[in-house]
Amino acid sequence: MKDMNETELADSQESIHFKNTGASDLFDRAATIQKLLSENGAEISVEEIEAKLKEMTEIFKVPAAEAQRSVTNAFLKKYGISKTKVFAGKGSAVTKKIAEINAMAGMPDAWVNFTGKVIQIWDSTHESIAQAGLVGDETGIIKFTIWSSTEINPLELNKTYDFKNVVVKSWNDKASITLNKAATIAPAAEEIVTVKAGETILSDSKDRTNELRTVAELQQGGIWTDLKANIVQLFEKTHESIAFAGVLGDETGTMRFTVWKTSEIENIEAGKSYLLKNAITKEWNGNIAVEINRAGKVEEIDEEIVAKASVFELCGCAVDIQAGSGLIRRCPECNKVMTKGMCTEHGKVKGKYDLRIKAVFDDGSEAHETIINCELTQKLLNIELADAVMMATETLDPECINDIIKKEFIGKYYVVRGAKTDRYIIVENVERAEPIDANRISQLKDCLMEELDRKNDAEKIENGEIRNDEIRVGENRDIEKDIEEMEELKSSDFEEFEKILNSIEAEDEGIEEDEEIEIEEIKVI
Amino acid sequence: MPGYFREIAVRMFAKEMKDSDLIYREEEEQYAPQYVLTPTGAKANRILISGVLTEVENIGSGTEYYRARISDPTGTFTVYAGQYQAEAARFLAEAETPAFVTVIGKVTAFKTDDGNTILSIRPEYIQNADEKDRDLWVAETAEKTHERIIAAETETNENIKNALEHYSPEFSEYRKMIIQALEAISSN
Ligand SMILES: [Zn+2]
Repeated sequence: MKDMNETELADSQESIHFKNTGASDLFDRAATIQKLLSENGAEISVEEIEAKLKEMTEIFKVPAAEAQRSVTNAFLKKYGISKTKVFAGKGSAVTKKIAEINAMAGMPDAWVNFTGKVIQIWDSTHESIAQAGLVGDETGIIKFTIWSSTEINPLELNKTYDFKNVVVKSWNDKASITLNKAATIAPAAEEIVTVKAGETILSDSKDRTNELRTVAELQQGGIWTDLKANIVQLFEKTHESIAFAGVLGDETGTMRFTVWKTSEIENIEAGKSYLLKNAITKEWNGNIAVEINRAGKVEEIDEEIVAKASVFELCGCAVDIQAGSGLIRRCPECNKVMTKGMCTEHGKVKGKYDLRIKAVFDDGSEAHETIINCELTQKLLNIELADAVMMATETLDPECINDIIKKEFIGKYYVVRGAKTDRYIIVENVERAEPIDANRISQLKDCLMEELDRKNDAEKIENGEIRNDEIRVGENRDIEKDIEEMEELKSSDFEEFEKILNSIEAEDEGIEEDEEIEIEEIKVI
Repeated sequence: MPGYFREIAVRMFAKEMKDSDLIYREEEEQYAPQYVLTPTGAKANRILISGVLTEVENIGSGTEYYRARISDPTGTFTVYAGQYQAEAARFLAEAETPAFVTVIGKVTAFKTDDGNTILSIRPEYIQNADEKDRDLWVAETAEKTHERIIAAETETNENIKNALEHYSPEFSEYRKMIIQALEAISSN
C-alpha cells in the first residue's frame, strides 16, 4: 500500500512536469479574480490567487475554468461577500444603439438591451453554438452568438428583434454580442428598415453567375466558381454541420470539397459526376478546397467526368511495417518479388534489387495497408538503393533496412495520399502530420463542457432545484444561475472562442472582414 | 481481400482502461482473439497509446522481464515485455525516463487472487515519440472517446448494450476525463 502511494506521488509529479500548464493563462485568471475581489473590498494578492489556481489545476488536475469558478467562490465565501451583490450590478442592462455597443470594444463585459435586425446567419460549425451572424440597426452592425444552452428560438433572417440582457464581449478591440440563458429575445414592435452597411451584403446568391473553371484553375482561396467534377471519395466521418465532404476531381486534378448542411443538398454519391454551382474555394494550410454553402447548388450530370487519378487520403499513425518491406529482389523476367532467391514462375533467377515499404497506417477507424515505392522510400529514409544494398552486404543482414524503417516510421502520425486498389493504397505522397490544431481541441472542449452543462441542468430540474422556466424568464431568473453562466463564458478561453467564430465566418458567403469595412467606409463618405 | 483482417488499434485513455474489466472471446477456442469491452463500448484487442514513460523495472527472476509505466493526462498504463517481445524488452532495458513513447500492443488481462481483473499491454512496438505525436494522440483519443460516448447515449448495438449493462457508466465522468486530457495538451 505504501509502495503504491509513493508511485502515485511520483506519477503526479511527473505529469506536473510535463503538463506545462500555461502560466500566463492562470495569471490572467488570477488577475480577473483579484480585480473582482478588490472591487468588493477584499484585497488579496494575485500571487496568492494564482497559487490556489495552480494547486487546483496541477495537483488536482481540475480544468482551469472550473478552478477559476471554484477559487472565486471560495474567496467570496471566505470574505462573506454575497455573490448576488457582486454580480447584481453586471445584470442591470442599459438600452443602447449598435454604434454605441461597438464603441464598448476594449471594455469589460457588460449587459445591454438593443433592437436589431438580423442581416446574416452563418453556418455553425459547432453544436455548442445555436446560431451566429450579424445584426444591425441604423447606426451599425455587430456580430452575435447564441449558445445552444439558451433554448432561444432560432432567429429569422431580415426580422427585427428586441434583444434584452445580452452580454457585450470584446476581443481584439472588436465588440460582439453573446446570448446566454439570461437573454430574452422578442420580435420588435417596429421593423428596422435601413441597416447601416447592412443591406448590400445581404443578398443570398443562389442565382449569381460564375465562370465554369477546372480544378487546375482553382489555385487560390475566395474564388466563386462553377465546376464539373467527379466525386472520387466521400469521407465517412465528418462534422455534424457538414452534409458531405471528400475528394473530387476532373481531368486536370483533384481537390477536397465540403458541402455544408445549410446548402440543403441531400444526395451526393461517390463515383458520380456533378455540376457544382456557386462553389467557393478556401485555402487551408496551403491546400485549396472547394465548398458549397447556403448559396451553392449541386446537380448530377450525364457527362462522365474522369478524375485525373483516383486519390485516397488519410491521416493516421504508422502501426506496422509488413514483411516484404525494405530491400527486396525482383525477377528480371516478370518483375515479381522473389522469395528465398526464387521466382514463383521462373524459378531460380538472379534478381534485381528494389526498395519499398509496406506500411500500415491506422486512423482509429480503419487500418490502411500501403505500399511506398523505391523513389519515395529513398527520399523518406535518405538512403539510396545502392547504399541499402551495400549495408545489407556488409552486415549480411537484408533485414537491417527494416530496422531503420521501423525506427523511422512506427508510432508517428502521417498524412498519406495515394491510389486505392483492392487492398493497398499505392502511395504517391507521404508527409508527417501537422501539429495539433488548437482550434480542433478548443471546439471539442467547448462541446464537452456544453454537454456536461446540459446534463447538469436536466438533473437540477429533475431534482426540483430549479424550475425550468427560471432559466429563461428574464424577471424571475435565478441570479446565481446567471452568474454561473457568465463565469462559464468568461472563463472559456476567449481567444479560442474567437477562432470558432472566425471559422464560422470563413464559411460565410465569402464576405471577408475587410469587405465589410470597405462597405461601411463608402457609406460614411 | 478475403480472409484478411487486421485488428484496429483502439484509442483509449488510461483511466478508461483502468475502469475496464469485461474480457471476452468471440469464440470458445483457446486461440481466438481476446477482447476487452470498455465502459464507453470500445471493443479492443489491439491498442495504440502515446505518453510519458515514467518508470521501468526488471521484475524477472533469472530472465529479463520488464514492467513499464506510461502516463497519459488521465492515468497510467502498464506495459509488460519479456523474451517474446524481444525488441520491446531491449528498448525498455536501455530506455531513459521520463521520455515520450508510443506503444502499439495487445491488451492482456490478469486476474488477481481476490478476483479483480487488471489490464496491461503486451507491446508489439514501443518507440520514442515526440511531443507532437503525443499531442496528436491525445486529441485523436479524445475525439474517439467522445464519439463512443455519443454513440452509447444515442444508439444501440451488442457492444453498447453489454457495456451499459456491465458498467452502468457515468458518462459525465468520462467527459470530464476527456476535458482534463485536452487541457493538458492545450495549455502549452
Ligand atoms: Zn519471374
